[in-house]
Amino acid sequence: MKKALFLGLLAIGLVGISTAQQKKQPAKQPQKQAAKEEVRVTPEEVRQVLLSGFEQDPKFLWKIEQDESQRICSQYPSMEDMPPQAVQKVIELENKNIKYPQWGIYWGDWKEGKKLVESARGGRFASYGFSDRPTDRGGNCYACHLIEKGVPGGTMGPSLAGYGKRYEITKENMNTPESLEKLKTVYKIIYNGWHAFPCSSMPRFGYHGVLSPEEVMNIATYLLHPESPVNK
Amino acid sequence: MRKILLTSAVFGLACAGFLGYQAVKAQDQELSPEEEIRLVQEFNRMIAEGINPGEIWAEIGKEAFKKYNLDKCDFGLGPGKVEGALAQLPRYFPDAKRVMDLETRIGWCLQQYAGMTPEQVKKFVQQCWGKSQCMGEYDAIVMYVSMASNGQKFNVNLKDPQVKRMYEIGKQIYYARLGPWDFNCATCHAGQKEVRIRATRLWSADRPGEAGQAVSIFPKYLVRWAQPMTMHYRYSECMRQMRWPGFEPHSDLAVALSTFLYGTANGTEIKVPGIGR
Amino acid sequence: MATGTAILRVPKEAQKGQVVRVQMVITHPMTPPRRDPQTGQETPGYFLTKLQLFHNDQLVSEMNMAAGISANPFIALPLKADSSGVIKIAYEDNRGGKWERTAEITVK
Repeated sequence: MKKALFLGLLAIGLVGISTAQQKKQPAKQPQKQAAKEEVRVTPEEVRQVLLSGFEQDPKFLWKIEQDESQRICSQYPSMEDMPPQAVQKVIELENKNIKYPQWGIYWGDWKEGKKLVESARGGRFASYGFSDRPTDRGGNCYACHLIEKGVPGGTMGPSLAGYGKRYEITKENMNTPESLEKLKTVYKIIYNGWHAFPCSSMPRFGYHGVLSPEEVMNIATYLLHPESPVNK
Repeated sequence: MRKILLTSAVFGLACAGFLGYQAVKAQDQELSPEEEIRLVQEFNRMIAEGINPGEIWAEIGKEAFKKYNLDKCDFGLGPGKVEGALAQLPRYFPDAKRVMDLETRIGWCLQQYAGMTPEQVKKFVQQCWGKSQCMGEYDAIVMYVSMASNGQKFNVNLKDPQVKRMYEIGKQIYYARLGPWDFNCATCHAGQKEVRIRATRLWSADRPGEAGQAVSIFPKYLVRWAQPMTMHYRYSECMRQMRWPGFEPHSDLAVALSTFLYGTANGTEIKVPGIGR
Repeated sequence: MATGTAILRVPKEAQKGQVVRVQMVITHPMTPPRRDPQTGQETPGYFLTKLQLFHNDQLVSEMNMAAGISANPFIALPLKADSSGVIKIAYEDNRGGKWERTAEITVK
């Protein structure tokens, strides 16, 4: 009796899961389906057109390859449209892509972090006009965030004013394991924001090598250190 | 008695000074986003009255148009007819077997009727990129042809399968994450929330009408470079800021993006040239 | 259009006594005088210095300009229209360039 009931429930459960899977498939298509009744474009065509538009300079061909997470994120116009499967996949992939500095988590130099946060240079190349030098580095954080009080910034990302205060980090409890854990959280967000916010607008600075782990540590210190102007 | 008067006078002056100091200090404080947007819109309204300096380029363009034999060029309404040309571009051209937008068509016609090679055309297009106060003939030609459609509404034919295909490709590219900063056009120019990057308010392709407002004023006269900026120049600058590889003007990528943007802008009135920072 | 050429726009017709807006855009780089901080070398700048507005050969407005004005300046001057005739602008820059431009207005 119990066995029959158990098997019956299992069968219903399996049917339920398979229909749910089928339902999820069309969810991936809506962008492609609603848009074109007669015209169908393949990802290969899109890729061809994209590549044809770039200067064929071998120095920068590495920029053209999309990695797996980028490919997943390109299918959905925004985070809200993503099905839980895709969200899960990206989070899984990105959690593997975090590297820490060789000395582990430590309080870095917030003055260096401040310079990186304010600098908008680095990575911009063009065959005309100005190009950034290879030694220029920066995160351009003010483009999307408000960080210090009174300094103009963007509103694409959340305001980071008083970040360390919000995390309740003070001079006394700076070196406790809890505070270092908070520092690690912030480090992870800056290094690879997609491990917690998949497909967000924020670049994965550390993963792509835009900023080295030590530089990301300095920036995290700038945000959380009690002495830093962010928390004054 | 006199002492009381004296001390109260001094006290009154000190108070006035303190209040004045507060008022001056208040002006230094950061403006709220709404105030800032209001001031920028006021500025835009003031400089929109009157003559746009971009019209200087339209006059140069009228002569350059003849000089490069572009009166033989068919923009879709017949050879040499520019009134209303911008309103129905991008479209499919059977002689080139490609969907083309305005600038790509001008580039093609320069190759056909002015005897330029593709490398010369690219140099011609990029002659003013990265410069300021550059009296470029290419920008002038684009300005002249665009201004001839002033007042008309965008009417891109999205029923044509080739154009529709380009529209779809453009839409996918708009949302394709690429490059070391994982950017795509949608990072800044999509979404329902009104956001700004530093102090600049961003338009969004997801909010209705905004793409049209942004695109219907190109070529746009830029006060900081004292010259007009065409659509392909704007794509190139966006891609530089997105840390994408260098942009090839007149490529299929540009046509795809143009088809997507102008297709989304269908119905907006053309008001060339626009003016911006 | 070379440096110094201008687009001049006035309304074609006006009522007597009406204040019309004379609008113009002058092609000019308006570069300010600069002193290179590294080498100390000075460049004197290239900008318009004076603009005069004549109505039937009578001086109506005179404007002194310097490098603070942005490139390709748009200038609008008010003019009380009391007789038909020719509106002329004459302008010069600090390298000795002198130009003139005219337009006609009919006053009822």
